[in-house]
Amino acid sequence: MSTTTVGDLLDRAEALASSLRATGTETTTGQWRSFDSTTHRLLHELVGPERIGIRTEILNHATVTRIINGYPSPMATPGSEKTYNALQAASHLGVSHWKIVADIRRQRLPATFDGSRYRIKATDLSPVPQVQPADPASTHPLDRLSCTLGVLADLIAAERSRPTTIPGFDPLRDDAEVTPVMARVLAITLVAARYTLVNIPLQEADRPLLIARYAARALDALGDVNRPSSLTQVASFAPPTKARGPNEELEVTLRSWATHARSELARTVPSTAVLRDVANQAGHLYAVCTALVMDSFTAGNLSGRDAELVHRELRAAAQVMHRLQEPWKTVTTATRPNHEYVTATTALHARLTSIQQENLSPGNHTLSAGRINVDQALADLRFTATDLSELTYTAAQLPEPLLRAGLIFAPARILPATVERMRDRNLGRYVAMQHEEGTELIDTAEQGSSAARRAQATLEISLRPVATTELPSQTLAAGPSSQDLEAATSRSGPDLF
Amino acid sequence: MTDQNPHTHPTHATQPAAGLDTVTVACVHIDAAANQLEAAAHGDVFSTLLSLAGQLALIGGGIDPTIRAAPDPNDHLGPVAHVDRALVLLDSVPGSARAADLLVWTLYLSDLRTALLAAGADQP
Repeated sequence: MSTTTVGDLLDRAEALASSLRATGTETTTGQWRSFDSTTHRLLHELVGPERIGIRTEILNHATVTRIINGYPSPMATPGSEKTYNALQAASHLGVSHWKIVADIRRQRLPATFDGSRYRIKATDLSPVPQVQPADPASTHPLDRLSCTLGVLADLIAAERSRPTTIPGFDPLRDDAEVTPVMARVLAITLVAARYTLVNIPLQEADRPLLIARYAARALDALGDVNRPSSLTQVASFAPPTKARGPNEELEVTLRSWATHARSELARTVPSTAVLRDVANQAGHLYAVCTALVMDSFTAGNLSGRDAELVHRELRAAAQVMHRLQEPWKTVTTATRPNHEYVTATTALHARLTSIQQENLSPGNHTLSAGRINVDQALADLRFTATDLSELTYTAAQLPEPLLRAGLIFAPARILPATVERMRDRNLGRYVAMQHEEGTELIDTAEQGSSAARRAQATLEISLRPVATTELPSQTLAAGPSSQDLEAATSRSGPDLF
Repeated sequence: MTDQNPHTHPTHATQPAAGLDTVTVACVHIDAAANQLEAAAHGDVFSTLLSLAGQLALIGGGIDPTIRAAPDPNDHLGPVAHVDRALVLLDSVPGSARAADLLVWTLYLSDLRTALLAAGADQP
């Protein structure tokens, strides 16, 4: 699997930081500067822009803002796209806030004023020593750590710049989710700075000492943040260009479909055929997930209760997705789907069907090279369930503006008869739907979005190890019926329980 | 946009229908096949027939997003037969009269026919 999460990168960075203790390799000033600059960039990305509007959010964000503002003047200017406010610029240059403001007012420092604060481009700040990024081919432990943190910073920046958000999953805008990750980064920074202090030429030791002190202070300022953070689940995907084996084929088709579906929904006037197909693929995906979960249960990797719960919840979600397609059948935006999307969705359909028919058919429980790795497939499908949450949420936002713009058409004969529509009815024409005529479209689309979120949460259950799983008493009390437990692979498939 | 529903009987669609062009009739066949597959799933939301129906609907929407088939109680064709008729019709459209990408949609449909046979959807 070529999926990397924030959690994976943090784990790797912590392992590299731990390995620093066991090595006494000399560290150059350049290597330290790369690490220093990368750490600052990562913290900067984690803290993100200042909050506006809601007072409680602004106040809560103040703690993390103070931490990034307190970072000892970085030795390198971050990327050209970065902007600072006057306070951050002052911290960056190691001068007073008033000096920066005075420079701006005297037109010595270019800045824009957004009504409440100045915005200064990082590249307009005073020249500072050029820092080269750490060499990715280097075997030096500090270089490897810098590269890992650099990738993490890139991943955070990419996540923050996503045009759409997943409902209920926006950890970068929630400081309670960001601070546990910041704490881990600061701990890594402290360890790396302590290591560098010992291994850098003495005349260069001031800066690592300063950073070590800062990291310790910042860790204390964050307080007790030892809690799980959903930010660690943010993932980056790099599917293989040439898939080998059923798992890689599944991953490639899933990623390709999600990417093209996102593009389709971002069109000015999306195709209703695509909106319908997204719901159709969601149902298919939930069917395959259920089949894999049952397989996992048969192999003893998942408890019976969890398998039952997943089966029931995913079937319910698939039913909602099926209902969601109904109102889209009779209406159209007259936009045709793009070929790239059709190719991607056809490939995904073929792959999912193949998993259902070949890998999980009754009696085919022998391990072979061609058989899919169920755990890995479930991990990939869980990521796509997250994509589906986002896609269905985006799709749920579409009917209303499209209706208001008069861009959803339906046959006049199925719409309420009006004098204006009489001629259209007689001629068998399509007419633009009124907003109030699209209530069902809006409601079912919202139900689809909610169902996708529930399915996503349910699939997390399949991650839990069998020995530690316990269901809430409410779920147990509901108890699945025998009908609920019918096989997922086909209508007449085996009863796996 | 014209709503073709009330005037179209898919079973007779291979005949040059009065007032309906060949592509329209092909789309009616595709939609009829999708409807039959959906009915054959008997409400089982995990049935592969449903996802096949969705794929057919997508292709139909790609060729012409405004065409729907009217329910025809006398329809004796199965999903594969409907797809076959749609393929014949699409192939019969003269090059000069067809949309530039009709050939590609026909290819998608042809690929899906194989999947229909594999899923055992060749019965009415």
